[in-house]
Amino acid sequence: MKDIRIWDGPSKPASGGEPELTRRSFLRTGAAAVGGMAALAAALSPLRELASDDIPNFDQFLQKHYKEMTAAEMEQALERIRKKVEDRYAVRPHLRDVKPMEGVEFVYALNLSRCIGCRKCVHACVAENNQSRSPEIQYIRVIEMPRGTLDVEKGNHHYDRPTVPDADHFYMPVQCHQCANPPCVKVCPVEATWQEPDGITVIDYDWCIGCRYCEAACPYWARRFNFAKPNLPKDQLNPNMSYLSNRPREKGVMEKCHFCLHRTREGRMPACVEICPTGARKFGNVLDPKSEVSEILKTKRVFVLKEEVGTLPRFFYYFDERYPNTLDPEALAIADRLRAEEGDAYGCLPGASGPRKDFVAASTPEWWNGARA
Amino acid sequence: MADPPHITIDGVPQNCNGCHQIFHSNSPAGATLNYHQEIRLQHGLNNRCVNCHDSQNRERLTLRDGATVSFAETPQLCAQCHGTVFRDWERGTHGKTLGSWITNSDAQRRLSCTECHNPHAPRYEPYKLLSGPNTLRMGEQVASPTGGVRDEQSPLQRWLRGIDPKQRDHPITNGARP
Repeated sequence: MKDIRIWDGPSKPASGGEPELTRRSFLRTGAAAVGGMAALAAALSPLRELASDDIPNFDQFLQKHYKEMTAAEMEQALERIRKKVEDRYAVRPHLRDVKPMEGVEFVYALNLSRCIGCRKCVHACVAENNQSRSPEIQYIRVIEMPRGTLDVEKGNHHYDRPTVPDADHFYMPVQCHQCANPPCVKVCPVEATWQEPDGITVIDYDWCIGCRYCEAACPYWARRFNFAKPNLPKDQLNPNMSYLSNRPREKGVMEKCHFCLHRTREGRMPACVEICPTGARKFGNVLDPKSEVSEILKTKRVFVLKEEVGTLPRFFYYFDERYPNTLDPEALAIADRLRAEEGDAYGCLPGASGPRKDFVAASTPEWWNGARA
Repeated sequence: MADPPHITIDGVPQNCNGCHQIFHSNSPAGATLNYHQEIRLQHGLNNRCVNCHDSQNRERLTLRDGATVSFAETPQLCAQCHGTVFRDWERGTHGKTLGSWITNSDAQRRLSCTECHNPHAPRYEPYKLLSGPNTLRMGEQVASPTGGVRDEQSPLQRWLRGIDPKQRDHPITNGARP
């Protein structure tokens, strides 16, 4: 306290270089203080735009991590979210915490021979999972790929045509691959995202701090960030929701595809599978040897995207055979003509000619034709 | 599809045999059709009605060995030519399954051939596609006075427009461009 003196008339010569409270220094300090207050007010001014439900209340602030919550605490959190959704969307949601099923590991398979690139899956996903309409958030990207490459860098997201498919392209939808070795989970500094026993990588939207490390770590660009407050019209809310999947998100958190776990953990199909008009999308339990995905893994030529990055995806792509299964030269000639005139019977790749006939003939055992005759 | 299928003539639902048991309808190849003119037969080599439809009982379908099946059993008929596809469909690797992913669940239903493919023209028609992604869409789409749309929250568009309206009464910058 001895440094601060009370003003007692004109200053005397300074003794010992001590700071002295002069009129000038007083005004300087005062101006700095006023300026500082104004800067603080300016820095806090975005808070004025916050609606009352933007500020976390006491319960939300003290809410524990998903894995640490007891059943009672979870029910309390669910009730808080139900109330918030009801306030915001005027709909009482059917919100619950769906747990994984025993003995189930989900796998997805996508038939690139059948996909026609109509983007129905993209929009069904948005409607099912309460994504923000503006800013626009979509989990599925359909990439139009030129024939002859699997390099996604050469693909195009923004294709627009009167109709699909285009003869010179094939279509490759990409979404979260639910990797068995997920880089997004490894980089999360707060463990807000993790892999569940059924193989689905989930996010606790209340625990996420929005650092976007996971978005950078994902080699499939499967994670989305809420840069602005999600905007979802009241009449488009899907009230069937769960804690880890499609409950409405807030600004500043990550989100991603979760294989529609509020549907699939109750035995139903994901929305993208249900909407697909060509049956290109297949979903099921890989631990069940009779499931459709197990049959595909056993009998089709499957591959994963970017296998070289070692993520071990649970999302497989495959192609079908689509050549005429006859060696009768007359039938082959007619099939060739029809394909040239009408395109392939399944609508994808007209003009694709299959293996060369002389090659097929040379590699055909004698007894094939003999047995047929 | 109803089994057997119905056709509505002058507002009255009719069964196939309502006509076909009365009228002789064995048109020669290349004849002009008087009825069923809406049917466009584009099924490759399979270009005769009675290849699939039973010539005696039009409410049944005919197999190659002369046996008949109902319309609900179409996959058996299609399998005669499309063997590999039928094999895949039985395993569930071709076609579409609805209801549930749980094998043999009561809720599970696998669509049959004709629920996806038009049997007379099985090739898929070219499809209208839905709108593509617009990742720069950040907020409300507002009609711009210069035409096009303006996006109130997009930082890019805000920057392009110059002054951010929120900055105009800003205490420090006082409307100057930050």
